[in-house]
Amino acid sequence: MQFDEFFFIDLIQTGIDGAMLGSVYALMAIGFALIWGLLGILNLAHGQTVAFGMFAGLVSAGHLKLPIPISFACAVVTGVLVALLVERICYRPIRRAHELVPMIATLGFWITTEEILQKIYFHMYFKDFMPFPNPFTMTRFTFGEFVIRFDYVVTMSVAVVLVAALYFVIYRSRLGMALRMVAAGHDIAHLMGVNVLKTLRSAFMIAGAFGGAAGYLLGYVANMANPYAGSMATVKGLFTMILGGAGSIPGAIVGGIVLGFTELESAYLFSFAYRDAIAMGLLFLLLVFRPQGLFGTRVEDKI
Amino acid sequence: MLELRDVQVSYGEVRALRGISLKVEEGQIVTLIGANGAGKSTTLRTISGLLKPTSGSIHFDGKELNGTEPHEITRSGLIHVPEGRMLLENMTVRENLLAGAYCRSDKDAIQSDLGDVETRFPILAERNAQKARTLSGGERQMLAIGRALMSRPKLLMLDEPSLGLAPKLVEEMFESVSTLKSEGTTILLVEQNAYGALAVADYAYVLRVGEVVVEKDARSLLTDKSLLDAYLGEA
Repeated sequence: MQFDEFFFIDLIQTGIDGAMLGSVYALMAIGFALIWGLLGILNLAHGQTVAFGMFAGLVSAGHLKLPIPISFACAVVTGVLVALLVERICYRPIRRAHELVPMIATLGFWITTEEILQKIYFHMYFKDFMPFPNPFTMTRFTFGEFVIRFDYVVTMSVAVVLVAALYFVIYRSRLGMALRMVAAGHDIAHLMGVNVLKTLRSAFMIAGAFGGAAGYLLGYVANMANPYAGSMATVKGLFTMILGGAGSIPGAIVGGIVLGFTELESAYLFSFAYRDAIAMGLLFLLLVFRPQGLFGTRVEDKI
Repeated sequence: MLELRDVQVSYGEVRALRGISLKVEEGQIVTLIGANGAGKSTTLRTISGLLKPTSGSIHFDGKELNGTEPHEITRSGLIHVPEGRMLLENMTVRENLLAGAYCRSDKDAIQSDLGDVETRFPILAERNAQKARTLSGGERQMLAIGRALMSRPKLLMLDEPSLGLAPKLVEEMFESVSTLKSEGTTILLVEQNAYGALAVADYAYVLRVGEVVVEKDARSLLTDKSLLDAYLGEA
């Protein structure tokens, strides 16, 4: 950073980029918020929907040269499949155990699948690095002094469409009614005639779709994929959710944008090397003064 | 219509129900009375499938319910209004009522039932856009019953509907239970307020520590004060 005539322009420019990056964090955090809000379980395997979504995007767009919308769909479907696997292995068989048991199971899923993914990457890309395809890397719009990357516009638009679709489902559909009843309590949902297990499976699928989409978009804007995206997604997604207020979907959205903004501004104002440390530190301070997060109010305000 | 035969339920090591047998005939109000901890709520939670019996059988409408998922039991018309009402606190009054009709797909009939419930409880129409958590105790009880009616119950199980209500509202509540019966709804009523419950019921079971200790015609039990006092204490 230099304190010159471009300081404020760059500051705002960084803020715009940060908010756009943050929309992807929001997508990641929504998956955590959904499962936490409905089940009270931290799904530590959720990051793997992001990692496998990214990998599916790399394979379908990079190797198979499929058009972007189709490879995006591949990533989403992969995310859904991974989430279904998590539900089948880490939740359904052990759902009556103490709530820590499914959480530890998701931790195991996370570590195991990350190891597998890492081996696959190693064998496939040890000799030939394959960038994540992004035909619009250099495309930009200019508004006066400001520049907006085309791929960020795509990313943010996809995020907005997905969030709008989610809200439509929650407030306008039969599934949404069931989700809201399950969030209010499993017993009451049962007594209203809701098939709770089936509804939860749908919730895992929605979370997986958001994770897969986030994985694709992260690879796309970074122009590269990596096998550790899941760990990053789990840490940042969880942090985003807690920042917004555990289980709150509006919280996940605003939290994501705040995190993206804070990260890039810290990189710009202080140092890129300490970007995560500073951003997380500042957000930690925020939580000290507002432990329930930005949107957290009461336990029952889950969705 | 509903029959329990020697139903036993345990919470871990604790035997909550030690073999309950009871019958509810169509068109009746049957009441389960007893002191706190007698197993009244546990009985209802077992009938609606939230708890699994360790032994015994439950038949409803000619079908055995053992192993049936709770949402399927609800869909068969056995509607449980749990203690403390369990409203959908963050949803509006209208949304709560529509949640009661979640299992139904007959849109026109749902709308007309909504009209009926709002005529029965005009305050619910007045408060239709308010969140359930902002309602008073009496309004919450009306909403819980209204929501249950939206699912067109064949058998309505009410758990402590008089709990936490002012005396005047308790009376109104028992009146609306009677009205429901006269309209043809079969009711299984759990109450700590034994005198109120016996006054509207046809038949009564007295529970004590997980067992039925007395079963009798409600009228004659009501007049047998010594028996009541013996089992219920000062009810």
